[in-house]
Amino acid sequence: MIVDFREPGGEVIRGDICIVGAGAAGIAMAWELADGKLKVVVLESGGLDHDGDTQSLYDGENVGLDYYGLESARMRMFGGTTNHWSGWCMPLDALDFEARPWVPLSGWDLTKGDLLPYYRRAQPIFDLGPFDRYAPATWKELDLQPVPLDERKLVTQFTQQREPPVVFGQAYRDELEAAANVTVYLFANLAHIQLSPDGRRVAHLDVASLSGRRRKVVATRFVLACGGLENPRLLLNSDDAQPGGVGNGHDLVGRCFMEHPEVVAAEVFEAANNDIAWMFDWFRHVDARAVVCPSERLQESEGILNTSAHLRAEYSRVPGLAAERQIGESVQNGQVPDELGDKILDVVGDLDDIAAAGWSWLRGGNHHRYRKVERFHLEIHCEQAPNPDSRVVLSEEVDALGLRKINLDWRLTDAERRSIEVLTRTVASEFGRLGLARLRQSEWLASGGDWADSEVEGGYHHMGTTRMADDPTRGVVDRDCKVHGVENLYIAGSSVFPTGGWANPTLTIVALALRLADHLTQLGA
Amino acid sequence: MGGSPIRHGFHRRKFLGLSLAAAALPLAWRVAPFAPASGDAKLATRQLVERLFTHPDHARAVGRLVRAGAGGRPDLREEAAALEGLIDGLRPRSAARIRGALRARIRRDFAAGDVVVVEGWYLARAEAAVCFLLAS
Repeated sequence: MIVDFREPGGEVIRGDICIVGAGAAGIAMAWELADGKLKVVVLESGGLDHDGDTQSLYDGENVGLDYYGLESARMRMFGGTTNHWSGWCMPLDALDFEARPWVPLSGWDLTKGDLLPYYRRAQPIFDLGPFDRYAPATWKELDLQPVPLDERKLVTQFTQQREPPVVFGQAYRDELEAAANVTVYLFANLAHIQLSPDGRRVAHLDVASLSGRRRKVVATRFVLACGGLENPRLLLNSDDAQPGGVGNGHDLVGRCFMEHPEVVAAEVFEAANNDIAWMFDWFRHVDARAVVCPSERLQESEGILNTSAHLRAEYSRVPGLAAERQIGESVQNGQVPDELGDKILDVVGDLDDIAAAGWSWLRGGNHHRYRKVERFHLEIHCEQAPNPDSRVVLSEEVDALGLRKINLDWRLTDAERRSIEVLTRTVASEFGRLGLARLRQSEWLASGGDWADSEVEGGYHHMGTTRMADDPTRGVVDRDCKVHGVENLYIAGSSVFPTGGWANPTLTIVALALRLADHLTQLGA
Repeated sequence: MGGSPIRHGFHRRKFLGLSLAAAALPLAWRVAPFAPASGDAKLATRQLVERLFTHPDHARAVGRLVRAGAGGRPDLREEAAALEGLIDGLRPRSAARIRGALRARIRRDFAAGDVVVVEGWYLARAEAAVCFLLAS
C-alpha cells in the first residue's frame, strides 16, 4: 500500500520494521520483505514525482573540494537517485574487502564470499545479464580476442549496464503497492530519532511533512536508508540523548566520506584505427563495457588504490553520418527527407566514414554510429582511501523542518593522485609494448597533480560516512549493519562501506540491503 | 559520470610540435622506408638513426626536450652512448636488423615499465635515448 502521510490518520504509526528512505536500498529491502510476516513501514520524504520544496531539504554547502551542488547531487523522491542514474553495475573485487596494509582503515568485516550470494540475488533486480558476465570470459561472448595485456600488471573486467536503467520507483511500485504487509508513506520526513532514556534503543521516530503534519512511528527495528550524506545528517541532528548524535560515541559519524574521483588522466593517440576501441565501446548485445584495472599484484607492489581506466571519446561532426541518420529516420516514418539531394551528396562525400561506422556497428559497438571519434582520452575512476578528515558535518543553518543542514568537506590525498599516475603509466607502457597507442599525461597529472587545481568530478557516489566495523572504535555499524550501542537501529546503503573500490556502488548497496532484510527476517517481530 | 577535458593552455605551441613528434614515433618505427643495406654502411651512425624515423625533425625535437630537461628527467647520455655502440656494431649488417634491435629494446623497456616522461609523453627509455642521440 502506498499512502500520503499528510492525509488524516492516527497519531502513531506502528510496524515491525520501519525503513526510512525509498531509494535503491530502501525499496530493495521492502521488496524483499514484501508478502512476509513482518509489518513493514516505509517513510519516503518525497512523492512519486519530483517536488522542488522537498528536494530543497537536501540543500547544503561544499566547504572542501569543488563538488556538485548538494541539493542536486541526489534525488529526494520515491525511487531516490535511481530516478536519474546511469545504471552501471559492478561488484566490488575480492581485494576491496581485505585489509590492505598500504591502505589505512581498509578491510571489511565481510568477505566477498559472504556477499556473493546476495550479489547474485541482486543481479536480476537490475534486470541485468548473467552475473558471470563481469568476468573476462565475456570476451568469448563478444567473439573478440582478449588484448594480450600482461596480467601481472593489468586485468580487464566488464561492467554491466541495462539500457535504459531500472528505475526502482517505477519497477517496484506496483509490487509494493500490492503487498499487504508493506505501507509506504509519501511526504514523510524523519525529523528526529528519539532514543529511550538509557540511549540503548530507538523509542520512536518523529516524522513530519512540509505541510506541518507530525506523527510518531513506533517499530521493533528501524533502518536508515537515506544515502551517504543524509544518513550521517540524521544521526548527527538527533543529539539530545547521545551528545554528538546517535551512534557517534567515537566521533566517527560523518567521517571518511568517500567518492569515486573521476579524472581525465591522458590523451590517447591510437597507433591503428580501432585497436583500442574495445576499451571504449558499450557492447549493446551484452549490455557490457570493458575496463582496464590494476592487478592485485600491482596494487600491492605499488601500494596503490583500486582503479579502472576506460576511454572517453571526443567527437567531430561528420555531415554524411548525420545525413544518413536523417534519411533513415524519414524512410522509417514513411516520409521523404527534406533537402534529399543535399543529404545524398553528404552521404556520398563521407562514404569512408559511413563504412567505418557501419563496421563498428556490426561488430557490436554503438557509439560510433552517427559520430566520428576525433580522439580518445583515458578516463580513470579511482577508489578513494578512507580519510577521517574528508567528512560531513552539520552547519548552523537549518532547513524547513528545523534540521541543521550539512557542510561537505570532501578531501583527496596523494594516495589517489599516485594511484591514478601509476595506472596511467602502466597503461601507457602496456599500450606501447603492444603497439596499440601512445599516451600523453593530462596537464594536471604532468604538473604534479594538486587536487585543488584539478577538474576532478565524482560519480555521485556517497560512501563511508557510517562505516562498518565490528570494533565500535573503528566503525558506526557492525557487520549486520546495526548501529553500535543502539540495539534496534540499522543502516542500509553505501554509507556503511568501509572502502569503496572503484566500482559503481549500487549493486553492492542492493546486495547489502538484501542481506540486511534476511537478517531482520531471521530476528522476527 | 564525469571527467574533465584536458587543458593545454600553457606551452601550447611547444605541445603542438611535440604532439606531432611523439604521435609520429610509433608510426615511424613501423613504416619508415629504409635505404638498401649497402648504402647504410657509408652513413654515419646518427644519419642512419635519422632514417629510422619518418619525421626525424620531430624525433630531434623530442631529443632536445630530453636534453634540456631538468628536475627528475633522467640523464640518458649513457643509454644513448650504449645505443650508438649497438647500432655501430650492427651497421655492417642490415638496416632491418638495426631497426629490429631498437624496436626490441623499446618493447623491452615498455614491458619493464621503464618509461621516461617528456612533457607528459610516456616514452620508452631506449626511445628517448635514440631521440637524445639525434639531438646531440
